[in-house]
Amino acid sequence: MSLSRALANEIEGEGTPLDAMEASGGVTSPNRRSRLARTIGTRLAGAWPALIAMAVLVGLWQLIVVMLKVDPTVLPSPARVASQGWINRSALWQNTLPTIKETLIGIVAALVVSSVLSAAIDLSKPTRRVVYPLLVASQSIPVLVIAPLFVIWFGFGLLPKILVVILVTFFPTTVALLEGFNSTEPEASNLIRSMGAGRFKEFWMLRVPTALPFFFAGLRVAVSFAVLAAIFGEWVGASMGLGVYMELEKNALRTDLVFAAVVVTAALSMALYGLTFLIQNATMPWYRHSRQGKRIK
Amino acid sequence: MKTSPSIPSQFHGPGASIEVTDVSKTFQRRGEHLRVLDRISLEAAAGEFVSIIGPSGCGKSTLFNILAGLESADGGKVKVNDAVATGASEHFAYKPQKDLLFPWRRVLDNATLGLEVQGMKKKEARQLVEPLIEKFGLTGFEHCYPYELSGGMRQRVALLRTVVQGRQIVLLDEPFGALDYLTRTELQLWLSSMWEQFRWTVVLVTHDVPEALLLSDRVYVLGNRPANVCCVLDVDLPRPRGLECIGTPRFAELEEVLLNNLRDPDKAHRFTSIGSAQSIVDGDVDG
Repeated sequence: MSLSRALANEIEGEGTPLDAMEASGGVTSPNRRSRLARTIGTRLAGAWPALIAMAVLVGLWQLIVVMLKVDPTVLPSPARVASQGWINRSALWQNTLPTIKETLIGIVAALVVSSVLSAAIDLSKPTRRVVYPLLVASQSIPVLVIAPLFVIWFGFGLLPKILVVILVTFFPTTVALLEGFNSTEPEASNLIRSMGAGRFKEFWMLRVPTALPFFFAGLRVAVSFAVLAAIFGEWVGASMGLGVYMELEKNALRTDLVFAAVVVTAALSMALYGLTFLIQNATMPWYRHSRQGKRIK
Repeated sequence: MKTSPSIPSQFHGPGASIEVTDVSKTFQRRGEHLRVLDRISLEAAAGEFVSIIGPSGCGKSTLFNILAGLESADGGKVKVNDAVATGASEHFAYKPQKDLLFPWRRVLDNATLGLEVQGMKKKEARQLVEPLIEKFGLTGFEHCYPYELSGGMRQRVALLRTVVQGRQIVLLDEPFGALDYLTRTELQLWLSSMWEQFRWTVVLVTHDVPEALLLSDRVYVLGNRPANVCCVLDVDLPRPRGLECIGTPRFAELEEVLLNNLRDPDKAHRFTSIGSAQSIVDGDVDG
């Protein structure tokens, strides 16, 4: 996971010279696509230290396994994980697809749930009093207990996994949105009310945009749990998916393939994590540069 | 005053007259009664520029919140164009101390905020505001985000956002308080010239004495808590007023009157002999 963190720091981090150029030329920005490509390019270039650290670790692992002649069912070498993973790539891929599907549907559904919940809570105080405690209580239900119940209630299909993903991910985004709404400056509320805005207009034109940065922070927490939640849901009972695959290969003493599935899982999580930054930059173009405090004049 | 014909007429004054009579406000804090405003009375004719000046924390902002319809008064009346204004907000365009530009809106979109809140289509609102961009010195910055602007420019955008609402009376709450001296002076002179052209009815709250003198037709001095009007000063400096106005003996004279009243509101009557200042003692209006 060190790579993903490094990547995140890099994405979030203080600007590169390229950013400065973009900011100062912000009024008449060049071709958007080439800018995006350049941005991604710089990000990847910035990931080199993390990649090198990772390569060193993997190399050490390989060295130890080969020198000590470790049994591959106990700890397979990275080379073996890679080669066996490649040989079994179609089985891996077929099991990855349902996991991606569950994760994405789960996250989107969780976003809908948390948007509705947080809006209702923010707009009405009674709702806050009734719903907030329930919300917190929902988080104290052990997923270990509820996931098997979902299987009993809803069978071996997609639904129970999606429910597990929702249960795990809707909370961080809901809390983040609520915090975000509350961070609205009272003076700004007064201003827009003096212009004649009612509660809903104030909510939509002021509180929602104010909450966006908070929302993305919450989304990143949620996303980093989502793939794990889907896999756990599969582990409990499913016919396809990375969770099932890992369970089967573990029972078959194919530790190398379990590791291969773990690599795929990590890659999925990282891709989702990166995606949140892409969406954030697309929806809040003012945010990244304003955080860097750059001024034209 | 002549203005270019392309500027929509609803942005021109004179707006409405305003008359505030005996407005009082008491806050309750932990069971304690805190009287903030004590029978405040003031007035501005249509197209007049009036300032309220007082020590920090004397309740100026509370008075503004009452006018803007954000808070209700315990007693007294607010009349706009001789009609009692209730929940008065539709008459007033309110500019708070901070510029409070929305960081996610570009300059032009910040300026049109009030119009959009009133239900106008974005495109229509932009067309209405665009002719004023040049007057407000924002040409070339229409599509910038607020973080790209200097403090003075941000305040100009906020002022633009205030006046385009087409409301009859403009309320300015220490509009330049957070700016450095040079920028502040520049903006005061600029606002003065804008007012000369547009003749909005303006009520300005400030604790900057030169600012009040430079801009106003009349200055109301508020005493300490509970705030009441302790002095009314007609500013008879000739218009248009530029930087040179600040150096005149008359300016210095009036400045002294205001400062003395601010320092010692209870003995306000001492200074009545100077100029056209009228003092109000114990709430009685003389003259």
